[in-house]
Amino acid sequence: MNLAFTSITPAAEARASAAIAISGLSKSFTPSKTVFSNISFNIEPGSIVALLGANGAGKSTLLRCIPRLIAPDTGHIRIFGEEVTPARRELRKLRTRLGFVFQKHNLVGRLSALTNVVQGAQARGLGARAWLQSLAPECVREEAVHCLARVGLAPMAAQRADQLSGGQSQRVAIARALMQHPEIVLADEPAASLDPQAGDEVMQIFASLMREERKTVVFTSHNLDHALAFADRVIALGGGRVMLDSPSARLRASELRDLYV
Amino acid sequence: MSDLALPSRLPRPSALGFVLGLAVIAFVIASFTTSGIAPDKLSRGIPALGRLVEQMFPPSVERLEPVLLSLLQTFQMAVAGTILGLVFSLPLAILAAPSLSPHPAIVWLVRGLLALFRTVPDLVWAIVFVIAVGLGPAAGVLALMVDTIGFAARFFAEAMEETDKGPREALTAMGASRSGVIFSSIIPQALPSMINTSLFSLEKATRGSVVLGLVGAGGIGIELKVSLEMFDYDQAATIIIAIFLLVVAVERASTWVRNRVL
Repeated sequence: MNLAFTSITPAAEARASAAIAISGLSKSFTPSKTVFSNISFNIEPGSIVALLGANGAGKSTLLRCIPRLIAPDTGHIRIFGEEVTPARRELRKLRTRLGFVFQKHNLVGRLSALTNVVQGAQARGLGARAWLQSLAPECVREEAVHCLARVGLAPMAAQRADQLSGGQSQRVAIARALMQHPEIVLADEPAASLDPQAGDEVMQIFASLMREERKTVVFTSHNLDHALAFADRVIALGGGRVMLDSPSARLRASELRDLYV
Repeated sequence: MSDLALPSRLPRPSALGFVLGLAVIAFVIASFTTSGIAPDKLSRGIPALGRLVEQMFPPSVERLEPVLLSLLQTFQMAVAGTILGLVFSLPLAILAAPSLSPHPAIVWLVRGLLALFRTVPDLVWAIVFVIAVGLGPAAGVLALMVDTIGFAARFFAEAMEETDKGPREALTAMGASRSGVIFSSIIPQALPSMINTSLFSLEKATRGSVVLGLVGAGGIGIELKVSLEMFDYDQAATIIIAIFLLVVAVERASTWVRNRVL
């Protein structure tokens, strides 16, 4: 009997089963300024990963490369085995599977908290019905209020987003990400623009909701306590490469502090 | 006194600068000469102006009803022209905004078209449309529409470009369509500025609609022209006062709306 075998390496197998697989990724903004070079790692489905590094280490750039908000120079990114490509239609489709929580919340200030959350449903192909809460079907409006309730803001649904505090705005942004039904949530320093107490509250809500929903999460942070408390795994960038990649249970804050020296 | 040399109070002009300066002065003098403004003419003109004002007062209310009807038609032309202009301004503004337009060549083309609409005076557009669609208010409405597009589309495009990029990035990151990004993030942010521009467009169109009748494009302008040509200066005074009241009323209403909405 003549059987043809295809050899599958363990690395290829890991990439195929990963929620996010990054291989050989490089990015530089000018020829003399390389942000990172030849970075590779995989992120397992359902895990929460903290991406650490000093200012300019490339955390936010790397995070933005995943949905191709910034185009990498070389390398590959795969989302559940599907390559992130510049082709517009495919990219849009892939982005609908990725939620993104920004440091500065990025809400439309003139619109209500409810409309901002309803807009998350644009990722689900609702089109114009998800432009404003007044255009949305009743079930979508109800779901959006439910998302707001999960972040503790249902009573503020009608409030204009620019009248909310920083912590409340970030919670609305989390509710918008939930409304999207993403498989992966990326968060760029979600607590950085908040005072320590509001930052802790937002991270607590964010992490518990993500665990409840079994989402794969990558968040960047400068807060080492947040990284250790809320992440399963810590990846640290420095000098344009991965300096540390370890389960957070094996790490201590003092070890992580050395990354900033 | 010290021996230190003081710098000159005025820098010495270059030869080219000196020649250009002389040319500018000569052109200004020539402009006044060509325009024929002279003290004797002004001294003759002021009493004539006094006589005209004397003949204008008291204003005649003999033809008040047709004058008010013409005034209403003028305002209706302004409203219709402004609304049509604003409707066309929105897509043109999107195409003229570099970060929203599908291609830089389209930006260049649309901006060129808007510059043409803006630079040609509305009275010239009115003549063009009188030739195209004949005498009457339709020509006036089309002229006001083109004038509004040239003004409003440019300001709409700038307002859209100035919006916060953050919400746009958030919607792009979740895979929202281009129209979704525009209508749920950019336009809501640009709306106060767009409302402001729309109200200014209405004020501008109201002022503009008054003179369009002079070239046969409908409205109260034709009434004014006929009154002046027939030496019915008291009648003309009524029309001028009516126009003044309309323009002031529109400006006051627009300020009120602006303060309430923005």
